Amino acid sequence: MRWIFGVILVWLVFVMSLASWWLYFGVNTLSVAASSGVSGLLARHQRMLFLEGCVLLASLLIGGIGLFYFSFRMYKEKSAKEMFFASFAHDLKTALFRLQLEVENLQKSVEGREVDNILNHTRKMQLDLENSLDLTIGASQKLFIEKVNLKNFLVDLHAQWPEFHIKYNGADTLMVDKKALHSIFKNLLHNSSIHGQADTVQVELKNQKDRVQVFYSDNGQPYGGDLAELGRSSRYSQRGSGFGLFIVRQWVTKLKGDLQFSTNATGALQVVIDLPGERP
Amino acid sequence: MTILLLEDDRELGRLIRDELVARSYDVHWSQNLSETEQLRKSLEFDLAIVDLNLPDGQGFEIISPLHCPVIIMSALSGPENRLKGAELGAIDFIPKPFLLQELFLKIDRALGGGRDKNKLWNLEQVTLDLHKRQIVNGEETHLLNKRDYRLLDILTSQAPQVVSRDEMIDYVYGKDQNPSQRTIDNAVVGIRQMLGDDQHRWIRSVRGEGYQWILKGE
Repeated sequence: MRWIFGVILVWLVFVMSLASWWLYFGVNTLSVAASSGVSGLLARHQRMLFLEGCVLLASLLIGGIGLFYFSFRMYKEKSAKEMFFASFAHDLKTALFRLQLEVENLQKSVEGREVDNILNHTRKMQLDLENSLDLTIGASQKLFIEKVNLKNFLVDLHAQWPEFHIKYNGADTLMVDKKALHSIFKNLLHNSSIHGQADTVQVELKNQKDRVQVFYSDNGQPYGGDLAELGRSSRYSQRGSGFGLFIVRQWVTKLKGDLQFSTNATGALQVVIDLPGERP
Repeated sequence: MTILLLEDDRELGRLIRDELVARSYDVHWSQNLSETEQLRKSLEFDLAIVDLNLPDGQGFEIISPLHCPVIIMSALSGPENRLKGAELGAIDFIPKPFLLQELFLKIDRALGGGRDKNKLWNLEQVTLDLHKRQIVNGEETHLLNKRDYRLLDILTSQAPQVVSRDEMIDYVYGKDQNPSQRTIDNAVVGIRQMLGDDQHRWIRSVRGEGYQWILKGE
């Protein structure tokens, strides 16, 4: 954000210098012409040029200062927003964590679907919160590319989605931002669970030369919508808000990857995520 | 195994500590950096679980001096924090909120494998690991759903006793649900497929009674 101030400063110096030079040159030229006694018209033009030039210079100066001021205000507002979201997310996540641990504790003594449901609702709230934050921060999010063991990653993730049978095969590691991968898989699993009513998903990882492909499919209900539009807009979806798959596409794009949706023989959704391979 | 838990939130710290103690870990809980510094001087830890936002500083400050594997747990899971943690030598980062099962899996990985060997079976080319809730059959790994996990859990824990279908239903679904016994039979068929147990060598059907797990854990 601070670089914007540099650009504004360069722009202001440039246009002010150019306009000043143009004014000096024009006025000086007319002055020389007028003093040589060519005509009284040139003297009038000289005054006009001088006045209009001064107005132009003043406008540029005021505009430049205004630009500075509003950029500074935007910068302050952005910093305040970032601080608000960081603190809001931290507090809310901590509160959700406390609730979740208490429910897990409760689960030991109270059996039944109700307790499981509370955990599922907490999980949904977390996903919604993370998706909203991801959407708000959007393209400005940075990445931390690290080596991720997909098998261990899925074992950990499965703890949050115990109702699924996850079949996994293929290569083990990929270079990716772990948070992005979490968001991608959580949204895909949520989509399979809620919209597809699936209870089994299959994940396969294939390493190719300089690319890595993650194949994801479920045994859910057939999808009859427009596959090309899936995840393109947060508003479009045949079955839900489309928000989750929109976030998935946003992450894959940010990872410089490609996302393709198709359906399998039973019509259930299949997803292929193509990502860059080994990175420095 | 001695674990240092650095968490400033009293409720969270208490809940996590109690769960770790219940799993037979020797847990030392501190709520700030200065307390941790004192503990570090007098004790050696096998693992540390460190929060980042602390009343007297950042959890990062203690990572290098600890000289033991460190797992960071924090709600501030942005790339800057993950990168800084990795640079300082933290072996893992677990974003809050998380389920305790996720934390236990990471702890076991950090300490070199599952603690509970009674939950691990090597069945020729197949490995059943109930701690990780998985069956590894050749190239394919099956992460078990809750129903299959609980079925295997009751069968293996009762082995070599025969477990009736009613007992299995109660254990898997709870006493407030009444699925048919056929549901259990179908689930067992699925589990046998994952185990490659078409000869019924590991899960034996006992006519009119139920099912029996044949082997003991390693």
